Amino acid sequence: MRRSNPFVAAIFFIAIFLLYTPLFYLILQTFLNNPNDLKSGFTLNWLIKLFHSPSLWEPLMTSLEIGILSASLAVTVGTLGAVGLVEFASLLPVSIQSLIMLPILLPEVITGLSLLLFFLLLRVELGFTTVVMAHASFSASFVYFIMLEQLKKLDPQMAEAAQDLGAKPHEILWKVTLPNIIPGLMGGWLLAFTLSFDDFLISFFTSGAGLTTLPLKIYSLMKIGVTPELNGLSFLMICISTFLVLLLVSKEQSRKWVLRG
Amino acid sequence: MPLELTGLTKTYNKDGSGFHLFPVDLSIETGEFFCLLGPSGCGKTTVLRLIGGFETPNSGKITLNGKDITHLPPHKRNLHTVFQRYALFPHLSIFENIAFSLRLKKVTRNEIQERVLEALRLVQIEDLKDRRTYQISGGQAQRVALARALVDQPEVLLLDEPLSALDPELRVKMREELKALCKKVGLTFIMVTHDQEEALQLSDRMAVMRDGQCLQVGTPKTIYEDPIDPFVARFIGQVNEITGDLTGETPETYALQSSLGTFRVKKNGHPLSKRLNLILRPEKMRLLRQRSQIQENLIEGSICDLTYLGSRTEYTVKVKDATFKVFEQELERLKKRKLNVGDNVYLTWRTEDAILLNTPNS
Repeated sequence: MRRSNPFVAAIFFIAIFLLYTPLFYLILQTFLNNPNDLKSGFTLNWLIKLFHSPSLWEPLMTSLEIGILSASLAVTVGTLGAVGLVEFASLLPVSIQSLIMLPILLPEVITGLSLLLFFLLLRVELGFTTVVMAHASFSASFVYFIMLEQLKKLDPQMAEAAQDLGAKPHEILWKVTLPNIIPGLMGGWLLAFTLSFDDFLISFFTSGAGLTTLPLKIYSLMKIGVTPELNGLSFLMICISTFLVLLLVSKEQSRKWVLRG
Repeated sequence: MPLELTGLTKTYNKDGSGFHLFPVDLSIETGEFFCLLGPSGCGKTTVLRLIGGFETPNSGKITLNGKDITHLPPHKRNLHTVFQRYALFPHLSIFENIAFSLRLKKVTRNEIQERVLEALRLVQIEDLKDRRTYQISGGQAQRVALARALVDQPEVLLLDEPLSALDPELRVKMREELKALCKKVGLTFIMVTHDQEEALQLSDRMAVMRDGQCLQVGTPKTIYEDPIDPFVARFIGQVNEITGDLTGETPETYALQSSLGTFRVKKNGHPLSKRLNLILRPEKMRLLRQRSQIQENLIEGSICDLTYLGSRTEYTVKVKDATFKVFEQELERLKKRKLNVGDNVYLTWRTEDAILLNTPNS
């Protein structure tokens, strides 16, 4: 085995420490009797209280609904875009191809503002639908890149083999291409969901008056002060995000295992 | 004529390097094992892809059993391809891979079961039917690809360098099986390969290609013993070449004058120009210690290398600036003769064993 460089190792542990200490502190606070006193003893009261406060449950459900819908929409649009690009890659100049990256690179404030102006131009009433559309539109470009990578890894001879064995173009897509990009589809969906679930800025611009997503709710509660329930909620969100990331990684692992053959 | 290609041409410009397939005319018989042989970039795969329907020709015609299939898409042609990297479907089991074409044709469940099992038996992998594609070896994947292509009984099977991804030992074994399979199912097999040994062993007939041109079509024996182009001679087996000028002829022979002397060559009917290549196969040449009584077709040289290979010994003989390869069988009558590196020897051959061909670009 190669000897590890102690300098690199030290920097690694400092980075990890800086990244995760605030998170651990937040989790710790969730379980403290007095969140600001480390010696106050542990309790589950805050979490239990959280489950009894509908003012937080409603935004959570809204965020989940928006996440599920916008992720599904983003996966559809992003995948079709990637399939199309692979087909017509030779016809489009690279500069146009990379324009699809723009929503990823642009500051979210700009994206949010432009979406707001666009919805106003179309005279669409701001609310649930506009947030779903807005989230889908920016996560679609992330999905697009995941799917592009996935499609490029596909053996082009596989589609030819299917055609050779009698498959019509739509049968190739349904019976060969799609089943082989399912890991990418799932990864893309999870990423799009996470992006939507965590998003504050774009929701802020496009939600209008009536709708409150979870990040918006947390922000509005912050004006009053950090309540222990909020810590509990954040803990819950960390759990959900961690779960999704682990799901994504395990999918990636199993796909690698499959492709090894 | 089962499969006929007439005046097929294809031009394409890929990554700036242009490729042009000159008019190809081929007639391939039913049940024939036909090889397209040539170095990479010679157009052999293009011909196969044109037959398979993955490319559209610029001009020319392809007919299969009298039916014009030139412009049919691949899924409407009754022929299947075995791809170089097999292109199995990783999301399906081995059984479902093979059943793919039958399912598309909406064949009944019982018949699918029956025909897939029969195909599995044909390529001797019945025990693999429930495995996934990543759980089998390269040789087994090869068999699955064959079974998948054969299961709905196409008229022609196209094979794109099917053995190139296998290790050498398995490759030789699969050659024999492929040949046996072709005769057993009675289908036309068209195989692309750059391996001359493979082509010699498998083909009933073959076409040797270079730079988008079909140079010669014939049985392995014809191609080896009576090549019509120096490139064909060089590509199949090894050759020694002497370049010279035609200086005279008798009713039976030509005289060729070269820097190594004047040689007699038996006439073979090919039209000849003035500048010629004399082609000699290493195994058709003999080494002599002394000049002896032979006066004709004799070159003096010295042995600069020899390799003993059990059944034969390969000698490299230096003659002036040129070197010659000579393969001698380890025959009983030669046992007493001991040849070593540095020995002076005479090279000779029978007049009828030399091949006289036009030097290219003359």
